[in-house]
Amino acid sequence: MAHIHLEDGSFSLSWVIIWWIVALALIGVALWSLRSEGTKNQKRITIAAFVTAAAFAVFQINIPLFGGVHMNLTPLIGILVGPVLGTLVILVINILSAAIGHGGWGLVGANVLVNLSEVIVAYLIFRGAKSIIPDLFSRAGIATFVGLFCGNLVMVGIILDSGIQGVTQSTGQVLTGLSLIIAVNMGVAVIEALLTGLIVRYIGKIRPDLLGEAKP
Amino acid sequence: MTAWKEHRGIIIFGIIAIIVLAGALIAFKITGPMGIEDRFHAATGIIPVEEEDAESGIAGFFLEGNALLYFLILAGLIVVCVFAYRQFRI
Repeated sequence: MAHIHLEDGSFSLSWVIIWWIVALALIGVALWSLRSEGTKNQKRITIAAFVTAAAFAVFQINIPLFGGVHMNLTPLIGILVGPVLGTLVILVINILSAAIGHGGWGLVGANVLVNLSEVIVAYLIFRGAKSIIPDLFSRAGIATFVGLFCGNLVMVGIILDSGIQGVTQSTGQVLTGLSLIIAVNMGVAVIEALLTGLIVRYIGKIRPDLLGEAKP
Repeated sequence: MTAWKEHRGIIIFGIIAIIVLAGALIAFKITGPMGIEDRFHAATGIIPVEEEDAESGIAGFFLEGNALLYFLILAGLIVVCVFAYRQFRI
């Protein structure tokens, strides 16, 4: 799904630093928010540890669909732990992924922003659409679609803003190519939406309190 | 009207799924099968650096790009999950 699969050196150093600074600022806000909440969120921290492990594993699995893609589970992270803890989860996943050669080290900042947009949008849609779509499966699925689409848009925005070093492609050509990547990525979003919907429905059945839903 | 209210979530989900699947298939027709990195290289115009073939894989089998092995492992995992669910009711 939305993840900038480019090597170090694709972005100029100044853009690498800019995306890192923006990402670090958001991480700082998340840490400050967590600290001000104190120990209220201990249960969510445990869930965050589980989703970090699950999402990192899923990140590395290449699905042989449309030539090879991977899922993110970022919308599920947003739904289960929210954007504050989700920011830290995303950072850990991206650092570990870069450590094994999945995305460049310099692009971790940019990739944190891409994945964080998925977490935030999915979280907002899932919480905000509660009265319109009470069904957990479809609400989580729709939140996943919208979240992943926004992540793809952020990814394209970051690449177009930064520009790629040493290539002769025009912005229009890059945009066309990236639009095709978005379309393919969204095809995989169907699997991710189904998976997220099923997981959320299952959790909603056995532990609705984990989703912030009232017990039936 | 009541049916729409009851099922609007799944209807919206289904419509989105159909639209994005159609888009993905059209994009796939245009680009052909490519790995993730290849897709990015083609989109951005980066010429990939050829890497030397490295020995990797599970007992001589390459999982990446091998759809048959992938589905066999997936099927095995599903069987294990069904067994665990029935045995332990988790």
